[in-house]
Amino acid sequence: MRLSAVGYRYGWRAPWVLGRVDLDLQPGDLVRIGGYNGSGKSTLMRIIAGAHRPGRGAITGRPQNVAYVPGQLPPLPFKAHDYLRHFGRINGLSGEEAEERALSWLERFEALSYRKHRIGDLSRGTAQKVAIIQALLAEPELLILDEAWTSLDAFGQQTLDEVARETTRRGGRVVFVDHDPERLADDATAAYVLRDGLLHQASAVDFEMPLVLIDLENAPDPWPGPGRGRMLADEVMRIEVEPDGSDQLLHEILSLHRGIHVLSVRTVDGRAIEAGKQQQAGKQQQGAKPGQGQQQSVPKQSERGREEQGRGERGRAEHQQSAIARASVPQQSRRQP
Amino acid sequence: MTTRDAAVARYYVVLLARSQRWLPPVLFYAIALAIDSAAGDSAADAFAYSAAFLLPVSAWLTRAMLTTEPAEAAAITATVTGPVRARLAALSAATGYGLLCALVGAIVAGATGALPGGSATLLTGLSTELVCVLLGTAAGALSAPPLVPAAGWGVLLAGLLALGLLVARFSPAAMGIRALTTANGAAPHYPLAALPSALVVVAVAWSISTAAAIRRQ
Repeated sequence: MRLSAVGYRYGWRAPWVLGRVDLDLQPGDLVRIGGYNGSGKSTLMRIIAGAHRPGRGAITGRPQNVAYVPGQLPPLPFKAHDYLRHFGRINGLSGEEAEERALSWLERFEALSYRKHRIGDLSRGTAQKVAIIQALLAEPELLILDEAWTSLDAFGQQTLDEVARETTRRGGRVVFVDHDPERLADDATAAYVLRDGLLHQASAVDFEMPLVLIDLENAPDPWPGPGRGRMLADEVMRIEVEPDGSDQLLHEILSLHRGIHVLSVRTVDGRAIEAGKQQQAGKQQQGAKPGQGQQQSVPKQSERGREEQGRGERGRAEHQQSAIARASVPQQSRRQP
Repeated sequence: MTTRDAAVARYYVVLLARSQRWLPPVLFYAIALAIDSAAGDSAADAFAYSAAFLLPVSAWLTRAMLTTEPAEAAAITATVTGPVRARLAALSAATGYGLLCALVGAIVAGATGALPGGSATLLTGLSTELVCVLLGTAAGALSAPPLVPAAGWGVLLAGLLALGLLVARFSPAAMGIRALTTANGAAPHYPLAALPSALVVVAVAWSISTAAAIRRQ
C-alpha cells in the first residue's frame, strides 16, 4: 500500500493540514506516527484508513479489510454486544460467526460481563475495548490505532500491544499514534513525525526527545532565530526548537529581548515542561536561580535523558508552577449535534 | 445490494431507532394526519394533504439520520464500508423511515372514505407520496453536515427547501399535489413527469451529499 503526495485541507480556502505525505506500508509493517496536537495526525490516520479521501495525491493498494480504532468510542445508543454484532455483519460475517468472535474477544479483553450494557453507560476504558474489538472481528489486513491505548487499564494496554504484534505477524499492517514513547518501541518497523503537514522519518529518539514549543508575545516577525518561528493567531509567535537549544534560546530571549513576553513552554507531545503564565520576561530572569521553584515531575523524564539536567535546573527555576499554560493549538475538527 | 450493504443500512436503521431522534418528526406527522382525518375530506384530498406533510417530515428524518452518528463512530463505519457506501446506506435508511410514514399516510387516506377516481386516484396518491418522500430526503441530504455543519442553518435550509419544493410550480411534488386537489371527484390526471424528475433531483442531491461526506465528516 502506498500514499503518494497525499494532501488534505478542510475547505477550498483553508490551509493544507497535510501538505505532501508519502508513505509505504508493506505487509508486516508496524508504523508509528508522531507529532504534536493539531498537527494532522488523526486526519492522516483517517485518510490511511479510507474513512476520508485525500484532497490531492493518491492512495494505491489499500487492502480490502481495514479497521480503525479512534481514541474514544462516543456514547452510542447500542448495547456493546449489539454494536459488535452489527459490525460483524457489516464486515461480512454471518450472525453466528460475529457472535462467536465478539464473545471471544470480549473475554480476552476481560469485558465479557459488560456486553449487555449500553455503550453510553460504560466507563471510558470499557467503551474503548468495544471500539478495539469492533476492529478485530474480521482480522484486518490494515489496522489503524489512533491513540487507542488512551483510557485503557494496564491489562488492556498490554493486550492491545499483543494484538498489534499478532496482526503484523500474520501479515497485516499496523499504523499507530500514541503518546507513550515506549509504546511498541521494540516492534515498530518504522517511525515518522508529522510536522507542518509533512511526514519526516524519525528514529525512536524523536519520540523520547520531542521538540520544544515556545510561545511568545511581542516577538519580531519574521523570527530571526535560532529555532523556527511562525505567527499564530492573536499575535502569538510560536518557536520550534530542538531540546538541545531550548535553554540557550530562552536565556537569550529573557536577557536580550526585554519586550518579549513568554506565554508558554512545552514539548510537542502536549506536556508542558514548564510554564510561566503571564510573567514578564524581566521578572522571570530575576527569579532564575538554580534550585528555585517547584519541581515539575514528568513521568520517565529521568530515563529520557541527556538534556534533562540542563533543562531541569534552569528551566524549572525560571517559572513558578502556578498553572500550565496551554498554547492555542488549532482545533482540527468540529462536530455538530 | 449485497448482504453487507443491507447490514450497513440495518445498522443505520437501528441507530436512528435507538437514538429516538425519529420521534419528533414522526410525532409531528401523526398529529398532522390526525387533524386531517377528523375533517373528513375525499381520498384525493387526504392523499394530497398527507403527501404535503411527508416532504418536510422526510427532510427532518434525513437530517436526523445524518447527524445522529458521532464523528468517531462515523469514521469507524466509513472505514469498514467506505465513505460512499456509509453515506448511501444512511440515506437509504432515512428513506425507509419516510416510506414507512408514507405507508401510514396512504392507509389513513384510503380509510377516509370513498375513492372517487378509483385506481387512478390511488395510483396518483401513492406516487405523489413517494415523490414527496424522495424530495424530502433530497432536502435533508443537502442541509445536513458536512455541507451545512451548523445545526441552526441546517434546519433553516431544510425548512426552506421543503417549502420551496412544495410551492414551486414545476416541482414534482407540486405537480402531484395539484393533480390530486384539482381532480374534484373525477379521476386525477396522473403527472407522468413527477416521479422521474423527482428521481433525478434525488440522485443529484444524494451525490452532492456523498461527495461532501467523502472529503469530510
